[in-house]
Amino acid sequence: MAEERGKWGIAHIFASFNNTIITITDLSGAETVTKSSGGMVVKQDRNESSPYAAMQMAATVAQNAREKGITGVHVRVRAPGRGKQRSPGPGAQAAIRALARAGIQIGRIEDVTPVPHDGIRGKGGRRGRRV
Amino acid sequence: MAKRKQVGRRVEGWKAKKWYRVFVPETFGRVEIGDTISADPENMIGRVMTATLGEVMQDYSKSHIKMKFRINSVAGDAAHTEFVGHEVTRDYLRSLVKRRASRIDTILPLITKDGKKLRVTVVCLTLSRVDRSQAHAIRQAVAQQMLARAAASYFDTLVKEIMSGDAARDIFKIVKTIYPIRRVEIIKSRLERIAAR
Repeated sequence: MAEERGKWGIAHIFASFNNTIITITDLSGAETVTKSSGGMVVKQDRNESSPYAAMQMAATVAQNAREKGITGVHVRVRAPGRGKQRSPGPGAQAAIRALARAGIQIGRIEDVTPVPHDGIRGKGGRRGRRV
Repeated sequence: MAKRKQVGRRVEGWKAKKWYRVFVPETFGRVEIGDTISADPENMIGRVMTATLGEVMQDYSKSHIKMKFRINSVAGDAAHTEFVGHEVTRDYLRSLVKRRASRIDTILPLITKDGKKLRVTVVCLTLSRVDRSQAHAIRQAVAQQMLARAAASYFDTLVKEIMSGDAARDIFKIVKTIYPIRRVEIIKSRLERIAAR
């Protein structure tokens, strides 16, 4: 790229128990730099949320971002939230670590899970999930 | 066919885009808060950038406040912004809220002297649980104080007072006389858009 001055971006990491999606945008969040999701790196559906997949994704995303001139990211971690679980899935931590290992500077890390002030009734019915 | 052409163009898109530097308004000293990229300067207007107060003021003890700035004009490779609101980070707020004590939220639509509308959320944290009548009294006192302050000051100064904590401190002094209080924090503000826009 034209300038070598380090540019910052935002890494949006959506980590559910079924998938992990990493999107790197510029600081305004309006322009996507690069993105990756579980299905792009693993074959089996059940592995999409695995820490291994997250590492692979973070590595490719980091490389693409660096090519486009981004040297550091602020991280926004997100779980499904709303009516679903509020803690991020297994991919979140792995993704952040892999980003750092890939030579991307990590700025603020923040949880942006959408939390209702009082939301809908939880899934599973009155007697809970019966396995 | 036409579709394929578009895809080709989009691949080139990244190189056609230019980086712009984003500055905060004069009130906060025109600090640069980062870069954004765009093909057309027109597209950038209306984008919202977030920066912590720590970054803006170069005071890293204040990095729990996130400020939002909307880009409203672009000149050359510099984009200028206006303040559109702030919010305290979630982990900071959660560290303040304790069990067996009350959290009294007051949400107020303020109108400043120059006619701008700002919606603020004030949180009062008490030392122990309050009765409803006490909570009402606290809310009333907060509302009175903030509305009066807004009516007497211009938007820029009001925002500065909120950011520096002066506004919260003044509320604290008043509310303290009603009930023992631990903390007053203005956790959120939002500039209301004028309908004509």
